[in-house]
Amino acid sequence: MSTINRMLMLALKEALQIVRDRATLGMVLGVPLLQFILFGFAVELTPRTLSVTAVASQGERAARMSDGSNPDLSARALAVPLH
Amino acid sequence: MIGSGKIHGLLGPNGSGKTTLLRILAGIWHPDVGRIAYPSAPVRIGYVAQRFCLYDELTVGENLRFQGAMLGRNVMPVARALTEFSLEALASRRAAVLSNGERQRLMLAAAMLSRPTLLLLDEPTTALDTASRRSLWSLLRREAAYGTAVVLTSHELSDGVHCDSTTRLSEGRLEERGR
Repeated sequence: MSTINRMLMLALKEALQIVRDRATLGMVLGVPLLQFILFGFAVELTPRTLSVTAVASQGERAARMSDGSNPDLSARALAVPLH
Repeated sequence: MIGSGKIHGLLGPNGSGKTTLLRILAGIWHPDVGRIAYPSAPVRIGYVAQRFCLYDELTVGENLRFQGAMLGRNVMPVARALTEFSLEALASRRAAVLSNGERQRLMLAAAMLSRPTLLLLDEPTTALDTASRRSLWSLLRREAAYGTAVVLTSHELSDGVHCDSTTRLSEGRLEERGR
């Protein structure tokens, strides 16, 4: 029997094992379904209201971050003076 | 010396080194000292482990077909293996629901698919009832009659009466050689 046939037989065996074992089948189907629902509706991956602390010289870039020019980025910037 | 067509028993209590010696014979492990001398003719080895090591989710027929496919050429046809080991009625039954005796027959059938010249069995009689033991010994005797050399381990010394020769092991050492 060729290597390809052996691989096909191995794939068939694995498929049968997965289909017939309820716990494994549950994991194979259930976990992606759960992820689909969670990532589709419940989980927000865009960072909003993210508290950011920028360490910079006083009055420079850190101060400009909080000028309100980007409405999506409502980061709270705190200028920490460097000595 | 293990002759073809003979059944040799490795007997001894748990921890005496029976399984270790059997695995060395199978080529799974290598001995720290000494060596195993095989005859010049190629030796095909069939190995039956102590625990069930086939697939619970597959049926008896599927297990044998899979083993046969993995072994490749010159294997015994599955239909013949089912007949020889009285598994025809169980062919479509999943391995998970088989009794210990039926599982032992299935593992034996799987090991015999490659038509081995040396058959190794690790504690094959453990957890078998009297009828299953009788059936197993009769199958082993038949395989030996076909010319297969059979080596098995057992912690029950009474199993020695079914063997043509025995070796008793104790704490990793050969204690006594019988017949």
